[in-house]
Amino acid sequence: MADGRGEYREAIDFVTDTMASHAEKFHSLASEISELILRFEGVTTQLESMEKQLLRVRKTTEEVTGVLNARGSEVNNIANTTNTEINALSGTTRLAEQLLAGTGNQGAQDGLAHAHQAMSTAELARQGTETVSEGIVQTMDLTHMAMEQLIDRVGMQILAAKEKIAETAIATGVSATNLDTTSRQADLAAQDWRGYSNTL
Amino acid sequence: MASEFGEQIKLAGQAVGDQAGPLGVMADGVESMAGYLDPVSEKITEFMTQTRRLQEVAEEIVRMLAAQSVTLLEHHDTAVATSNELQSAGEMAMRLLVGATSSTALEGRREVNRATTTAQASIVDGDRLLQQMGEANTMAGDQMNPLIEAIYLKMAELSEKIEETRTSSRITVEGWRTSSDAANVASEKLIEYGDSL
Repeated sequence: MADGRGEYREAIDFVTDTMASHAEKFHSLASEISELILRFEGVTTQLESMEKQLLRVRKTTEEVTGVLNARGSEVNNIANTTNTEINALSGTTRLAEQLLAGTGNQGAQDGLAHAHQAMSTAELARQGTETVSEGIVQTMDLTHMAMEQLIDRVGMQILAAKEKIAETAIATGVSATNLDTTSRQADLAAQDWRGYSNTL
Repeated sequence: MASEFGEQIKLAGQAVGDQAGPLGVMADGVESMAGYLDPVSEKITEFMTQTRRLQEVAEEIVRMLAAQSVTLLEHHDTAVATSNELQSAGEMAMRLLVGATSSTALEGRREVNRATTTAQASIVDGDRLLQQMGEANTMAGDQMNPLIEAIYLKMAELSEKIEETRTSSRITVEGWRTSSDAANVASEKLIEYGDSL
């Protein structure tokens, strides 16, 4: 009977030790998980740094758009003036042609040839001016529309990620609390079992 | 003194010459238009540096979250194993206490039950937490990085467009200047001819 009681007590002590050891393990897990919350703060800080960086990108975009918008009307004026200039040049060239019709003078013919060259080069330059003007307008569109929209989307994504990180940090806190509660309960169980063992 | 016809030729020559000035002004105008692109180009370089920095931070966040996920997964595995052991110990305790009437023993049994139930709840918490970590990782990294990359590509497109426009403007400026010079030569030749008549 004495032996049997000894084995029973041994078994009870084994359970008691297991409870106590698990209480410690849960407590240690709770502490480690609590440390994770600090790391979440690090992630949030990085996300905030991204937000600041994005604000700088946005400011730069607005500056570029501002510069191009301010010059936009000037660019249009230059593009429009080209037609007026070419019309005037072709008018005077035609007048010279009429006056010189049938004249065989070399100097006069050279003058006309240069006037024609001036006209055709001006026409090419007009087309080039249109290309430049369109290029500037497209640069404005790319900067204003495409870039700003993308920047807005990144901004929204950063906000969503911050919210998700905050939620995860809260859930981590809850998890740490629950593990701590488990630890306390296992510890109480171990105390009770130790008390019971002592009565045997 | 030129003849009346000669005077007409001279007038036509002067009219052609009068166009040389405005054509030169056009060249200056296009050159000035191209000049607007200089600050834009500088800003694009700044943009690209800023965007690369954004990308670096986003990648750092992904690394941080991935490391946290691994740690959390390890903790979760430990919690599951410990909880299972706790449950086994609890079951053994129940078997030992069959017929025991001591209030301390009964209280111990209740505490073991409570601890096992809370441990199981913690495991469920851990599962949910791991899922949330995965979502946070996706949001901060997988979804953000392509957007930042898109900004970078858009900038590269913008930079190319600016370079094309600058090249066009250089050719155009040259064209207006050539045209202006030709108008001046034409004017001189016509006036010269007018004078000779």
